[in-house]
Amino acid sequence: MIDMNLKDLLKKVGRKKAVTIFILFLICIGGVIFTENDYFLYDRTIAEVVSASEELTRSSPALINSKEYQYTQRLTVEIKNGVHKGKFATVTNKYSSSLVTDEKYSKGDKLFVDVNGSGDTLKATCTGVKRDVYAVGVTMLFALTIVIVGGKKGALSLLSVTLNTLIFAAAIEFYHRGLDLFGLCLAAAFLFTAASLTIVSGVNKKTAAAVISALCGTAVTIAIAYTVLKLTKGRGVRFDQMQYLIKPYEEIFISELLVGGLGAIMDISITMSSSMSELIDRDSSITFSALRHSGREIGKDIMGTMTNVLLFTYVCGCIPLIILALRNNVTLTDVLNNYLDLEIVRAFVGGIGIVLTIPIAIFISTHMLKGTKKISPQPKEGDA
Amino acid sequence: MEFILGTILLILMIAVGGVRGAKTFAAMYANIIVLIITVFLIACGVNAVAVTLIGCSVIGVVILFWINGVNIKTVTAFASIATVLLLFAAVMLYIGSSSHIQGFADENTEEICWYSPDIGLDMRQVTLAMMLTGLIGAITDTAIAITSALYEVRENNPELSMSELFISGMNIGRDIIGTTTNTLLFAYIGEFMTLVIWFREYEYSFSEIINSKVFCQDFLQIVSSGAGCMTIIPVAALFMAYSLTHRKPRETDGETEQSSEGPSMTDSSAI
Repeated sequence: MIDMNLKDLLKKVGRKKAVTIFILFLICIGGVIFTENDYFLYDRTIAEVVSASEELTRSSPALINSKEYQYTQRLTVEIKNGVHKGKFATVTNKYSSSLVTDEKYSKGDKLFVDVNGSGDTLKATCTGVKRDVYAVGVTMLFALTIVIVGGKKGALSLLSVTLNTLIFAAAIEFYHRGLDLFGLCLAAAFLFTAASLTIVSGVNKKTAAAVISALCGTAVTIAIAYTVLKLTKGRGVRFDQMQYLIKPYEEIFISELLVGGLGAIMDISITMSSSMSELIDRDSSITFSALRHSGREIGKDIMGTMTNVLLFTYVCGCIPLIILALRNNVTLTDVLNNYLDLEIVRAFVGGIGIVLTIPIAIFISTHMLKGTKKISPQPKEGDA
Repeated sequence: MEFILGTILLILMIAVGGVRGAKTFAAMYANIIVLIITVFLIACGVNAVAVTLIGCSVIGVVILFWINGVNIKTVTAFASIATVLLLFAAVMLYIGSSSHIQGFADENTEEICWYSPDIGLDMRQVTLAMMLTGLIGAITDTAIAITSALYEVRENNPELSMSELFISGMNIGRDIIGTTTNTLLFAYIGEFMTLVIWFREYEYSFSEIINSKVFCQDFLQIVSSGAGCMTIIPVAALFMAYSLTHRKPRETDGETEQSSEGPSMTDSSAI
């Protein structure tokens, strides 16, 4: 039964698409194999672990009725590039069972090493792990799934993601050269919105309505966030806990809020404007109040899941730090106050953006889309 | 500040969404509490992966069943989320452990310098817990969007076959892709910003960035969640197409389900 359906599907998917996907698949595999062997691209010496032995050197009572075991690993590595290419070296690595700041290596791992000494018995120290193959592999997995599932639309989304990443990189570069970060993010937000909505849904009235609603929604949200931040002087939020301690915190944080909420706001705007235009297309005599009512119903449906998406996206990042602190006997209240507040603020501001954009998008798209629909049959009313 | 923003959010949600808005806000808080409990249990030494999977199920229950009611749409969405979660738990376990992204990087030294690293708890499991939590937020939205849209399609065209339903599920999924990827991308870019500024400030080279632990921790999580978001589309479409077409013989069952759903629908539209 299911087999029949699968055959059906294959027919519908078509040979051309199957071939495209197959080629894409080969490219992805090729990409991964290439990064697996791209030693010549690096100046740093890379070595592959060929054998590893380890011994338990010490065990000590860890925090909270558990034990911590310390191991010493003796690794034999084969050097893959540079002057010692092809030679073997030994590396000693210490790690403890929690692996909080250290790493346990096993056969096949690729490491960056500093080689010291010469002759037949080389010694080396490990300075890091070669992770590029995982970054490339996961990117390929994402690209493959998005194209297989989304077809042409998926490819366009991939293009939009790439474009947005480039805009973002450019904004950071300009900031580094001394321009104001918040101003840059405003400009980038405008570009992001226009570019991604146009790529996803083409140049038309619907997109224009979505772009305007997204920009208005973002502006109002940031105004609210900024006012609250200034009025409370950021009280209750530990900016000094912000990752990597870069100054000025406040400017960076408000810019992060701006960009972080933008995606969700754009999502809401395009959903609202396209359902509004669908409703108007179906029934051009639909009244403003009926439109507003349906818009609010759709809005209610999407706001719950959207706010949760943001919540999880933000909060999950601080889980390791919270666990480290809790294991160190810091009380739950202190941990939550210190490490969760920034993420909760982000999620709340994003949520405010989502909820605010619903009525804004309803207002803008009813007026823009409905207004133009009226002009053609009854020009006089449209003028009035 | 959190309190004021929270109050503003609550007021807005009630103003825009009425009772359902209040429910949404409560669900958000419930999720925060479930997350805190999950993290607390992991810190107590309970198996991180098991706790996370259970925690994610509870979160799924809160988002799906409590806000949208128990019906064929939410049950199927739940089943598809569970499937993708288990599938990606395996993928993420492999990626997470073989790329050595557990724990903290050198760049985090200042943050963690007060704490002892001898915590007697395997950080690889914590990393997996983190990746799965990020994934569930991303896929729930898509799963429910597809199952509820397919339900409407079936309502309007009861004679559609399973493969036809699957194909229209995929079509609906394709419409969501662009916006979902953007929501996720921007949410992550917002968090990523300090890190990228740090990289630029300290003049990291491209090869240093792409191989660094701190970058890979975020990047691998983001992009594998993205892949999860794509995978949920065919899974949800297939499951929903299957459960819609295989419910048919039990006519009465379908009817009671519809009638039990009836009041909640009118409820929401009346508000």
